[in-house]
Parts: sequence; structure tokens; C-alpha cells
Amino acid sequence: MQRMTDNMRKRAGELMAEGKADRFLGWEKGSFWWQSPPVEIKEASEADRLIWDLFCTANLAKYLQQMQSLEGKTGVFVKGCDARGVNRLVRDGVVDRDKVYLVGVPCPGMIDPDKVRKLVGDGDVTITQLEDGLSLKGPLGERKVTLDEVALDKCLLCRHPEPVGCDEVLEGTARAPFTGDPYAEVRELEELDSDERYDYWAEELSRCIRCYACRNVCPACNCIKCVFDMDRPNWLDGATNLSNNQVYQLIRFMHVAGRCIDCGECERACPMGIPLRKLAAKVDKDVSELFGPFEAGLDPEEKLPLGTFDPNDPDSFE
Amino acid sequence: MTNELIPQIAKVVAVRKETPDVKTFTVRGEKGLPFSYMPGQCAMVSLPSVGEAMFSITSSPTQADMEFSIKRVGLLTEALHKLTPGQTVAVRGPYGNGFPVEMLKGKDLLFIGGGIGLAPLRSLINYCLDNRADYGKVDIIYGARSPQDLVFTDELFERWPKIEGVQVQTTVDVGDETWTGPVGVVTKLLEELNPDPQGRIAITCGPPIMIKFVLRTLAKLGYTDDQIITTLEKRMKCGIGKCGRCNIGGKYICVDGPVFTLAQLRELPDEL
Amino acid sequence: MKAIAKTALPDLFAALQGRVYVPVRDGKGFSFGLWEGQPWPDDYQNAIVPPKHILFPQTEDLYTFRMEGEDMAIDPVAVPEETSFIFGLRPCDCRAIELLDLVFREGPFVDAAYNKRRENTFLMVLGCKEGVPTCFCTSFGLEPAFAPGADWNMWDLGEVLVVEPGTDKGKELLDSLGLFREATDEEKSQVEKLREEAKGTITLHAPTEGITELLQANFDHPLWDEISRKCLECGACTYLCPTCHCYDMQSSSVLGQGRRFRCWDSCMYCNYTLMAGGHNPRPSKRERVRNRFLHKLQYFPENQGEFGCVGCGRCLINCPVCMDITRFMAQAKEVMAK
Repeated sequence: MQRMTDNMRKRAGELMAEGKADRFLGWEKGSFWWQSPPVEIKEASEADRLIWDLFCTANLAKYLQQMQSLEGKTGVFVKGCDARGVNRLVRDGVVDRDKVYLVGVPCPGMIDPDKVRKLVGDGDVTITQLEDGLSLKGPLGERKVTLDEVALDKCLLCRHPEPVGCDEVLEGTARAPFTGDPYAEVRELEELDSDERYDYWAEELSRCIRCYACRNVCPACNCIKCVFDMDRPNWLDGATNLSNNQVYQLIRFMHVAGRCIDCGECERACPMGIPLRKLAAKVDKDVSELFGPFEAGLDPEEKLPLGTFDPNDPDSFE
Repeated sequence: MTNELIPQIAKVVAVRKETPDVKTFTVRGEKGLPFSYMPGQCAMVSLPSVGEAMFSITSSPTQADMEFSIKRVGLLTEALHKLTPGQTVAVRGPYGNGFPVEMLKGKDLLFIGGGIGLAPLRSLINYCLDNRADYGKVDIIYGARSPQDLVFTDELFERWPKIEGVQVQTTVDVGDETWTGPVGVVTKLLEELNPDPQGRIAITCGPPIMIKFVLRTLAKLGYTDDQIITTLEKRMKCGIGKCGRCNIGGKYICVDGPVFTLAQLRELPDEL
Repeated sequence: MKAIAKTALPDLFAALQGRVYVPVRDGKGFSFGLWEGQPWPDDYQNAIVPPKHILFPQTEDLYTFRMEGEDMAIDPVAVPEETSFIFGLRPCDCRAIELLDLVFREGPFVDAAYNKRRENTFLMVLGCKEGVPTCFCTSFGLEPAFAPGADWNMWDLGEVLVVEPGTDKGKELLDSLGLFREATDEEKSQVEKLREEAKGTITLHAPTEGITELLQANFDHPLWDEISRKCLECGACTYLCPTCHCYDMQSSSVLGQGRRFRCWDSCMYCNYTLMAGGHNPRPSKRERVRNRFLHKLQYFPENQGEFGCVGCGRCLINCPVCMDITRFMAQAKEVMAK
């Protein structure tokens, strides 16, 4: 980790000095042990703020949209999911690939702080990397675990921990890609009858407070003016109730169908603990089944299953 | 306790077309005036199925009826413009501090209005003219984009100039074949008129860009920040200082304003 | 001071005449919901959503309306008279309700719906034995295990809950319930010890001294650009804040018949201050983030004479990009003072 941190600082400094990037997006250490929030480095001299640890979860692709209006190039450190996020935005034409310099960081997977808290408590927690795992120390004692025991669920299911489409990739080892059934959880839900499924989602979505954290953190939510922010017409009023919450979540996930990169940021950002990745996975599964296997964000020139016209489309347009 | 957020129903008894996009509505509650108010105060007017917004009350409390002059700019105002006499709206109020009518007593008054900005000023002008003995000379300078954009033309050209001690000057940015009056911005007229700041208070309302230049000109003519009064507009929802949104710094425009002296405004951060 | 066995809490809840709100396991944590016979949750720390929604619901109908030809009918929606008991809220959230009182019950207008609910609500505060790393209530003068504004202060001593009424109505209620015994001297001294020890468990500090004056003088400081860059402009911080009180008023109708309601709104949202003509006095996130922090640290002190933050730490826990008001305050002290 420290070696990667040193490398990132060095590389960011060099690339800014060489004029290949006018600023850099990465992560810095936050106020608490479980936080490594996004940071924008404006001068090469600030590169020492950058860090790489097992909490660099935030997807940085989202920020490129606001960086588009800035002069020059933005350098970005990207994990597998960040890289796919950038490719997505490039594919949608909201980010100009020529204004971005991507430095890949092979991703070992990120930690779910709640899993650590359950084992060693909260407060004064230190996490040390060992040859064959992690040592966690906290108020409840010391534990030796593998990364997978405390990794975020989304990382355990990650199919592309190695960043794709980068200008360069830093040396390091990514976790092994997940090769199992990515839709196992969806299949479980699909086994339920429609009433049971409705009840399951009604209970989950009734908790939604419509803070829009899931939308605002999502690299596929790149509309200049979101349909839920419009007041002429006002498609959905501000009342939080099950019906409105369902409309909000279903429309949002239908809208990112075929563009969701499964970075899981929606679920991580949700303060209410709604299992939003399951909704995303369901839509993703349907897209793959209906339009052939497809994973968004692997290629900035990919043909979008729901955004491509093909005269040989098997469905009729009549 | 009555819920301040629940409006009462009022009937539209008259609609007067002022300009292509401004109409003046006369409304009457079940017992006449929906509520008593002072010049410069506002009310929430709504069509419940469309929306609700804050409007300054155009009429003077010395008049029998309550009037709103409303410019068509959005969804609600568009719907209001479709109202005809006999139809109903919902109103609640009064809100805001209003003009300092007591402080203005004995002073000469200079009104500078632009476009629909004359609406809140008209309330105070008519109040002062109906209490003529309490106030000194009244100068009114009014400007609009074109002759057809002038509001309250009856009062501007007929009623007010005939009153002792009242001078009205009207200008338009762009004239037409019928227009024989001055052409140009209000600040030009203001400089020509050059009203002596001694014992006089200037009250101005209009588009932000006009206010900016009016303030500059008044300063040049020797007016201090305490002698200049203006009234502000913000997006508002509750009208009672609770819902957030209309604050500039720590002041809520709906209760601490909308009327401020320039001296008070200078204390606030630049978030207009 | 009185005491009750924790195993008898269901009897207490059943004896309370009205709606009894307790911490309910919900999603990944707790929220305040109606007691429905469940036992007291021993792992409860604090609720994700503060109990402000009991007094100030996220969505609340104001009136219904219908158009009948040229006429309109408006029917106010009454606030129920029922008594509510918020059992187990933390001292920070109790303090937050006192701050909401200053907003909704003071000033030229009183919020009728809030006021009525507040009059009929008992605040039964459970003192914190220890904070979590994101707690900084002591920075705002709070005591983690005691709330001066509570109807009851309560302390969890393991097997028993010790209760001390803090208001007349709280005392009356306590005296009317036969389920309690007098607390022993041993229990009383345990409470004293718990209160004292709890203070030391709050390790996060926010520098409040002189912050209001500093911010008053630095409305245009470049620090606002710096700290707002990473904000994603979601409403998690504001919706989960126990003192945020901004709301919108909207209508929902079909064919001229419908309801007008108010619902929480957030100063972080892009439409919040947007005017019908298109002008927006807070056009970018720099102004919006600034407004949120200034509301807590400058406008609240100016208008209500108190800080608008109670140090509950919810915004620190739930911000997807770790915006941190305590860190901002420390930075402001450092760079704005120069």
C-alpha cells in the first residue's frame, strides 16, 4: 500500500510537471480510519496528499463531468470500477477522452468498515497488511483476517478489478476477478412469487428518504438536468411515500440500464441501507439476456445495447 | 391556533390588462378585504393545483380592494393570467415588513421604478397620496422597455400628475411612433431631474441591473445609504421564516424584508 | 430518581397512553418507529434518521382542495391530538429538538402543526454511556449522558433503567406510573459516575470559539471553493441532520382535486433557490455548501442565539465523500484567521 502511495505521488507529480495533466484526482486520508475521500490535486507540490489504502472506494469518474469546463487535462487515478466509469462517460459524450489522463491502479478490493467494526469495534482501529492477509486492531482486540473476510460485497463480485482503457497502469496486483454467477442474488429474488417480491421491495423502498445520494454518486447518472429535478413538468412530486419512492428508484435503474458499470456506489452511498445493487443487477441481467451478454464501460467505443440502431435488429420496429 | 400555511379563498372581481405580460387582479375575500396590510407587504397567492408564490400587494391599504399586478414568467403566473372575474384564487398573508411609512412622514419622496417594479411602489405612492398632509413633495420616475410595457398608465399620466406637489416622469428604453416622452434609461432622467437629497428619501424597485445603476446615480447625487430604500424578491415557500431558501446571509426576506435600506443591505453578504 | 427493570419496559410502553416511539431495527441500523411489542434493543447506539420526523414529518398534508366550477373548497388537514412518547432519543437529538423549537415556535409566526405535536410529545432521553468516533456533542456544550431539556433523563445501568424527570409534565407522568421504584443510593452514584465517564469518551473536537465572527468576516474566502469541490450535492447530510428544518410546499392533484403538502427540502439541491424567471442566487455548490455550514455556525447564532449543530455526527457518517464539518471548522480557524 505504502509503495503504491509513493508511486502515485511520484507519478502525479511527474505528469503534472511534464504538462500531461493540469490537475489530478485521487484519494486522501480522511478524518477517520475508514475514510479515504476524493481529493483534487491542483499543484505538483500537493501530490503528497494522495494516498492509496483499502478505503479508496469513492468512484472518481463522477467528478470528470464538472472538470470538463476546465482548461487542460485532468489526471485521474482509476481502480477497475473508476476506469469503467470514465469509459462510460466518454461513451456518452459527456467527457472528452482527450481531456483526461488515466492512471490505472490494480485494485485488491476495498474494505467494508462495518465488517471491521463487527470484529474489532470502532474508534482506535489500525489495519496492517500482512503477507497473507490483514491484521485488525481495535477496542475489541486484535484479529487476523483475509481481505475477502472484510471486503465490500461489491468487490467480492467484481469482474474487472484490473482497470481497462488507461493511459498507463501502475505496477501492482489486482484481486482475482470474480468468475462465478454475478446474478446469484437476483436469481434468489426471482424465485419468489410476485407478491413476495413486491413485499420485499416495498419494505426496502419504504425506507428511502429521497436524498438522491444514489443518483448523485452514480457515474451513469450524467444528465445535465435530471428528470427528478424538473418542475416543468414536475414528473414526480417531493412527497416521500412508497409509490413515489418506487417510481424514483425504478425509473432511475431503468434509465441506467445497459450503462450501469456495477461500481456499487449507489448502495454504498445510501444512508438507509437499501440493497440497490440488487436492483442494478436485475436490470443488468435482463439487458444481458435480452440483448446478448454485455458489460458496460469496458470500451469507450462500445455499442450500447439500448442506444444503438441496427437495421438487422431481430425485433421489428413496427 | 390557525395554521398560517393554509390560505383563504378569494374571488377575482376584476382583471385589468396592464401590458402584454402584466395583469392586475382585484381580489375579495368572503368578508371583503382578505386581511389588512401595509404598503410594501406581500401575500402568497395560489392556485392550489398549480402552485403558490409570493407577490407584492399593489394596492394601498387606503383602497377598498386588494390588488396584485402579476407578470407572466412561470407556470403559476401563466395559470393566473388565464383567470377571469368570478373565478377564485387562494391567498394568505400579509407577509414581510413593508415600507417604513412612519419614518417617511414629513419627508420628500423620490420613487424610481422599472417595469413591474412599480407594483410594490404603487402601494406606497397611493398610501402617501391618500395621506397627503403627512408627506412632502413626491417625485416619481418610471421606466419600461417600451411604451406598451408601461404599467398603471392611468395613474402615471392622469391621476398622479394632477395632485399638488407630485411630479411624474416616464421614460422608455425604446420608443415607438406614438411615444412623445423621453427615451432612455431611468438613471438619465434621474440625473436630469437631480432631486435635492436634503430631507428626501429615495425608494426604488425594478430589475436588478436597473437597481445597480440607480444606486450608483443616487450616490453621485449625494444620497446616503440610509436615504435609499429598496424591496427584494426571492423564491419563497412558507412566507413565515421557517422553510429556509429566501435568506440572504442570516436574514429571511419573507420576514426581515422584503424592504431594506441600502445601509441594511450593505450589512448582508452579496447573495442577491 | 426512580428505577425500573429493563425487562419491565414492555409494561411501561403498554402503560403509556399514546404513540410510543422506540428505536426499531431497520435496514442497516435503527430508526424511531412505533413500539409493537418488541424487546428493548441492547445494541442501540443512535438512529440513522433523527427523531425530528415525529414532530416534523418528511411529508405532511396541509389541506385538501377541490375546484367546483368557479369555486374552490379548501379543507385543512388536522394534526391529531394524540400524545407521543419518544423513548430513548439521545441528548444530542433532544437538544436538536430544542433548536427546532426556536425555529418553529418562536419569532413572528408559530408553526401550528409542529407546535401542536410538540406540546403533545414527551422527550424521554437515554444518556450515552460512550460516544462513537464521529460524536462531537461536547464541542457544542452538550453533555453526552444528560439533556437539560428532556422530560425524562434515563440511564441504562445494565439490568435497570434509572429515570429522573426534567420537566413538570415529565414528573407528573412519572408519578402517575406505578411501575417504578425509588432508585437506590448505589444506583444514584452509578448514574453520577456514568455521566462523568461518558464525557471522556467524546474524542472528536470542533473548534467553536470565535467561529461565528470568523465566518461573518469571510463570506468570500477561497476556502469555500476548496471544501465544496468534492460535494456531490445530494441531500443526505441535510435530511439526516436533526436541526435542518427546510421544507418545500407542493401540490398533488388530478382534475382540480388534490392535496397541498409540505415535504423536507434541502439547500444542497440545485432547484432550491431557483426563481421562476431563471435567476438563482445560489447558482453553484460553492454557495450551497457555504449556506449549509453558515446556517449552522453563523445564521443560527445570529437569529436564535445558539449554534445550529449539536455534534451528532450523522453528516460525517453518511456523506458519500466524507465532508466533515469539524474538519472545515478547524481549517477555517487556520486559514481564515490569517
